Amino acid sequence: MAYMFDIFSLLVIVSGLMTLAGLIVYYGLFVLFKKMYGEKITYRDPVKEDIVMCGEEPPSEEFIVPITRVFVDVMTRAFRRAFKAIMETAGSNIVQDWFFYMLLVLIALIIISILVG
Amino acid sequence: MIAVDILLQLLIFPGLLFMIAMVIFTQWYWRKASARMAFRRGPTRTGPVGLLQPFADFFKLLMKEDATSRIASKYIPVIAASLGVGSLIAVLLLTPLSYAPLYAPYDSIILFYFLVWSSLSIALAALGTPNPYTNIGIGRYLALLVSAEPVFIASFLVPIIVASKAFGAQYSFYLTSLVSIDLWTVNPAAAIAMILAFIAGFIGLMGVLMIKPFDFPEAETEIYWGIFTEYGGPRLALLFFIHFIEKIVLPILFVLLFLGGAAPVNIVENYWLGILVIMVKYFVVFTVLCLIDTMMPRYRPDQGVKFLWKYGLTLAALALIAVILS
Repeated sequence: MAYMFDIFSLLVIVSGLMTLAGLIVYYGLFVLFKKMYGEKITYRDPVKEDIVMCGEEPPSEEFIVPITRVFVDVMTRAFRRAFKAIMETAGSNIVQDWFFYMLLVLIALIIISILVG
Repeated sequence: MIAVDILLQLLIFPGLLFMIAMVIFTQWYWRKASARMAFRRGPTRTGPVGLLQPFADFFKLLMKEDATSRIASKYIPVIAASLGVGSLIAVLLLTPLSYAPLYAPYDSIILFYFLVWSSLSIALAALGTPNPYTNIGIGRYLALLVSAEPVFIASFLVPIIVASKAFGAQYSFYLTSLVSIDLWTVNPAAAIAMILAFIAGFIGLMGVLMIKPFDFPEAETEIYWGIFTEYGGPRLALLFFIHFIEKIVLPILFVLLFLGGAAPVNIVENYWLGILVIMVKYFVVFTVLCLIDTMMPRYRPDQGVKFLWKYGLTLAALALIAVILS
């Protein structure tokens, strides 16, 4: 026995089920165990809340390593030739935000036009 | 009646309770199998043949103090992680694993959306706890997702398109998985597309699950577990819970689309035997993943990303082209 819906109803139902399951996990596993066990063994200690690397506390500006820079670095190393070509033609591999968004729209339009024929 | 069916499935089978049991069993199996390959014994002490060791580890983490650093977000990571678990469990209701599955034309879009959400929830949860190692891990994880998810989704789309063209499956995951055994023999072009998609899908699966050689976001010897560095206690238990459920749900979807699902049993007529067949096939895929993870070294992030784009995405794109032309 299977239940058929239209896609919009199914999206709403699955989103609701995801939220319900998430709430059960949150309250049933996290909050409940925290109340039953975690809170009883909690003690306040300022050192415990510090971020420590190799026994030293790093300067606060190092707490947040720019994720986008790590991402771009991985991609640059993976596609050296492509990034080199971009650097040689454009003079920079940092693309202006709006130019990049419009480039994505243009690529999407090209793909759609190819698919639709 | 529908509401009762849905709730029972969400909470018991194939939902939350089943997933908790499966996480415990598969983790025991994974640890035991990888230990045997390395000439070790694996878990032996807790329960018969160490079967309850993952259960003990999981509840030990849950019963610990919830400690966070002073600049960490207190609630967002936990809520994101809980919703990640929820999304994976909700997705199972769209598969034949449910005794009363839900489906709609084009429901594969919903399925892929919720699968991506589960991966993103790990990144979101990690983002809530700033640490240099964590942030390097997130950067690497996002690079991996950008490379692995297109491979995974493009290749998983192939059987869905074949089924919709040949059997009128209406781009529904459930309807596709009912006819997936016949997809290999529709016509030569579809067979080629299925072979290419099978290979690309497995590569994408390894990428999304961070199976070696694609485990550079956690790389414990370089960046101290990367995305998991700052976590401990119940928060780490939740993140592990998503990661382990992913290792159950995604290979099951692979089995349903590429390995014929419940075939040779008709799951609509013989539900429990069909489930048994799916589970046997799942454990074959799971064992292969475990073998690869135990034997392989780790790629550098750029090598992993390049491999996924060069081989994975090329194969997946070729498969898509072949199936569109077939």
